[in-house]
Amino acid sequence: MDHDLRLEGYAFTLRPVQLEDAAFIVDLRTSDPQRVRYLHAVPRDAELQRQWLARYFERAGDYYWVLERRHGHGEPEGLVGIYDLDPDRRCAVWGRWVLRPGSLAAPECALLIYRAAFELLQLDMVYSLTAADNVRVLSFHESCGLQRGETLPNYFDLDSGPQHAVKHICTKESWPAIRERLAEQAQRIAARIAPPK
Amino acid sequence: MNDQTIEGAVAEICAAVLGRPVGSGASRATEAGWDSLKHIQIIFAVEAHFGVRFTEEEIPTMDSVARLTEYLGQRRGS
Repeated sequence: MDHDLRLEGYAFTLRPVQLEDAAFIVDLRTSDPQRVRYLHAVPRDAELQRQWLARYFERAGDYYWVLERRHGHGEPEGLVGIYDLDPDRRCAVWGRWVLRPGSLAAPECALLIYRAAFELLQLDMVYSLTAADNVRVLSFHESCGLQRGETLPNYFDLDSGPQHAVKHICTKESWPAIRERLAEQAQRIAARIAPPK
Repeated sequence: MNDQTIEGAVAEICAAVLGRPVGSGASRATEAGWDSLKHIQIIFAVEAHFGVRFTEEEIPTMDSVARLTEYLGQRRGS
């Protein structure tokens, strides 16, 4: 399967997830109680994560990336993915989005994932599904310029119980305006976190 | 510029970015619209208004009107 797509941004890079990332994935997805509330439960077991990744590597229409810093030692900053790609409708879901606490990478990570969707994968539409109680992420999507779409009742089965999902859609027509908004903030952040000269 | 003036200016900046009135007790915990994109916009607007520059480590911690006011007050006194 084509899991080698890589994308360079201003301060961060999306690089394909590797088996060696299993421990990082488990740690990031389980260490922060605030975030865990809105994520599908992941066992605290790197070997189980490696088994999941082995199945992922064989799956079509699924792209999972580590967001890492371009400079310094390329420290991992987070995770994000595009999956459930429908080649007939040219659409997919983006999600599995987790950043380390305190990260400033959110605008650039969103910019990169939309670039991956529209420039690399040539999709017509990509959408996110956010737990209805996750008000900060709902607000983020709307601050990016996305319109709130339909609510899917009890879509998520989380540890905290069933949760409605709220859909936010980005089309290739709306992408240029969203790109402009995200790129402005991403460039300002990149200038702040660039290594000292 | 005293603390009250600083607090008023910070609250005005937050209100302008968030698009709604903001009181002195506003924070990321209390304002659903204070997301990570808006946070960056607030930080850069505060920097421009007060002529300061936060470090990368400081930016995530400036998460309330009170915290920003405290920081700016300390800078004024230093």
